[in-house]
Amino acid sequence: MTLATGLLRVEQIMGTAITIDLRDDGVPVAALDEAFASLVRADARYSTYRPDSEVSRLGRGEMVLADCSLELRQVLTLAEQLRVDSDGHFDVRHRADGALDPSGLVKGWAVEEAAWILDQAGARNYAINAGGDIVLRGEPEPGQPWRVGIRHPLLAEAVAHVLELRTGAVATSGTYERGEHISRPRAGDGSRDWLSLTVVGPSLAYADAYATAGFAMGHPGLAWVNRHDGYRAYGMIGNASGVRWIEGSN
Amino acid sequence: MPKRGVISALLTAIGVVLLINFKTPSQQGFAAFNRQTVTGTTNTDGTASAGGTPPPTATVPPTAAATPTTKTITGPAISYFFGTAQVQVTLENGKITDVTAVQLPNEGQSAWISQQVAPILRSEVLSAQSAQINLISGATYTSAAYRQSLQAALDQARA
Amino acid sequence: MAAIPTTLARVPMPRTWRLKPIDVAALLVGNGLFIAAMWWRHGGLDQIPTPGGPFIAAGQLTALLGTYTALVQLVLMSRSPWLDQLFGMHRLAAWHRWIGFATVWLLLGHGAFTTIGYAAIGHTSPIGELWLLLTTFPYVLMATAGMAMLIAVGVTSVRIARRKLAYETWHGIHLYGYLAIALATAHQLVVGSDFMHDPVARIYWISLYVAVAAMVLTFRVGQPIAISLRHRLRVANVVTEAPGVVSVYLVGCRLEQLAVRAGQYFVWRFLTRDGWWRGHPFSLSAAPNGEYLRLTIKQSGDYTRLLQQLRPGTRVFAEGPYGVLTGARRTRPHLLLIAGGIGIAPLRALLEELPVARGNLTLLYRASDWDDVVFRDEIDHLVEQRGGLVRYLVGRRGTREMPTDPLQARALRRLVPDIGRRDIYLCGSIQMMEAVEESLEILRVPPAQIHTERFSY
Repeated sequence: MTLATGLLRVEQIMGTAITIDLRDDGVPVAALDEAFASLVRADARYSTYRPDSEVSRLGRGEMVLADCSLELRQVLTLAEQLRVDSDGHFDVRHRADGALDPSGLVKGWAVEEAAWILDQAGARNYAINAGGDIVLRGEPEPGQPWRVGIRHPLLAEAVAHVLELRTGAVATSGTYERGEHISRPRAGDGSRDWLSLTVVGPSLAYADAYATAGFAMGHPGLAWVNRHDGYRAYGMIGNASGVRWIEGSN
Repeated sequence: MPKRGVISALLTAIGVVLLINFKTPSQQGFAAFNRQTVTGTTNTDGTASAGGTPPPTATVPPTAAATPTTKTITGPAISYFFGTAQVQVTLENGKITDVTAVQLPNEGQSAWISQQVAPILRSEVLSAQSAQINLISGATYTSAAYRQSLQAALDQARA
Repeated sequence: MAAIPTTLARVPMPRTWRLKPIDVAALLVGNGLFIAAMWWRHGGLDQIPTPGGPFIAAGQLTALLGTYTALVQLVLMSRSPWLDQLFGMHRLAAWHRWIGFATVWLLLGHGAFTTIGYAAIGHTSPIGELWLLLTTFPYVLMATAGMAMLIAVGVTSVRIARRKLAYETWHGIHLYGYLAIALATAHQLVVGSDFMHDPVARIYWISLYVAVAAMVLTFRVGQPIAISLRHRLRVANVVTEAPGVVSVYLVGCRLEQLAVRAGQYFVWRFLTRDGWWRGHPFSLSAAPNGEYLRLTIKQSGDYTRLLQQLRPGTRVFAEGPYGVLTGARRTRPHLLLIAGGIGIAPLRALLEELPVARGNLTLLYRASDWDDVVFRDEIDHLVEQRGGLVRYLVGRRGTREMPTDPLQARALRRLVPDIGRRDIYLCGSIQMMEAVEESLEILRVPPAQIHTERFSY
């Protein structure tokens, strides 16, 4: 049995690069394998870019909800809860063609699943970064927290802010991804918009969804996220001449 | 044979030899094409040195016994329209000292992208390493697969 | 040595093949279609909707077809006896000319389309893109050098340019065509979209090259070397037949085993200091007899002037035999031989060899001057021996002795009333042959009965 000693592995899944940085001694490499395998399975199930995924097939009407996996049904139930909670700012059916796109929720869900696999294998100190959505546990070095840089929304490769965390999830939504992937289910006038919104909390699935909804809401979104127990939002506003980091009160 | 014929045959032979010896960057191997070792901060100008290293595998355990402070991390191989890009980052004492392309599409129509894109991204990266960061949250660029792979490698770059 | 041997030794006839012209055409066209289909199957058409797609697709197709036609060029000029017997060198050379221009245009198109297409994808200017293509794509620089050579070959072959160039210069430039095709090969296999990822396509492409190379090497190099080693031809004697006209007698080993027919020619390379690098076609002017080969050469340039001074013992390289002016083309029992000037040479050989009954043979020998008439004694003797008829049409048109063209249709019909039922063998200058062919057309002689050999093309 090969033990993982301070392993770092990166794989391309779900259209993005997913990194697992494992800082523990004594965790079997097989756990890493299995963690990645679970992500691949999630990709197959939820990806809207794969015509054969469960989500695509459901969206095309080739499957009914009752035939879908338990997991997908759970995701969709959660999605409905969040839709109501966010007054419609988070809606997995908001694509222009009405197609089902739960990817904002799904990635977080899948990464948490992978983190759980590592937990079961005895890992206590690791970081999973799925294209900017992060699950953290423990410490990178004894006595030091994970330092998470929040990418500058306008300057390539620059870091606007650094958060220090131990165990938790970090998700950031912004318009500086390819195109505007945050399509707004509800129109806003854009004047009180965020450049990016980062949410920290215990679950990546919720952090992801809250970041998406909070971003779409504009300025009120920050307070809305902070109303949820255990979750905090940080936003960035500004333009090319300057960017400000906003933290909520309480 | 008239002198003219001899001269043109000779010139042709020289020309052909020169043509055969002309090597494009991708033919010279990645080592020459992108390897520059930089200690310190940001500049990436410098002459290319010869000699290559075998491409590393995707999982690299930093062996604590051998070189405790040098880590080489390989990003994932990202496929995009023109081929596959894969990036390797070398760290010494937690500082990025080198960024190289393990794989860049160098066949046919994508060679020019590799030559164009890679050096630019490289200098950008090496200038962003001041903050001692473990990982970065934010959306990843998908406009260049190089960037994705690099992003991932960079995420774990600073310890 | 000018005596005619009274017994003709039997030399073997050159082999004939069952191929028909349509077979060759089908093979060449079929291969071309196959290549286009391969491109289509690789997804050539699917690229068209993408940015720059139509240009890239056009660039690929022109590359494939342009290279294929370049290879066809080599095949046409490989001096393969198969192609020679099926079509005749003159026709092969005419096609070579037209296909050559097509090749240059296709490859120019390939360069332009590919550059524009990639520039569109990469959002660079075409010039910038061209620079990238040359400096960062493997083997493209040498392929471009090859294309420049092909353009030079094409430009110098345009009639206007060709007329201004010495034959040696034109021919020297033309030889760069081989180098051009060789230089382009590497980039096709390494960067060519149809070959990069498809090993079967690569094998097919390479086998095309191998087949063409084998043809060229066999017939242009291997065969002459084989003849030389086997027969060791050398000059035995040079005899002046008339002012400016010499006969060269060649002897060698086992000449009775050298397969050649009367009426055929070889491309001869006399291994002298100045002559070894040039080859010229000359017909045998005596039927092959197993003892010697006789060529008769009229001085018309500095090369042929040199040949007047050939020394006995000079070694000779022979490429061939070629020529369609042979008994293999016979269709009828009656024969008419029409010679113009030095064109008498192959007809003099045919006069010896062609089987014909008494009274069925007529020879018309057209010359401007009695000084230009060669082999008079031999001809008279042979004609009498075979019960034929010879008419010497000597003089310049428009003079008192010859007020009209004796080869006009009306005149021909008077000379040979039954011309319509004869096999006609014709050899002379281009103008003379064209004039006679025109007359024969007026006289409604079926084309299948007219056999010609042209030596300049």
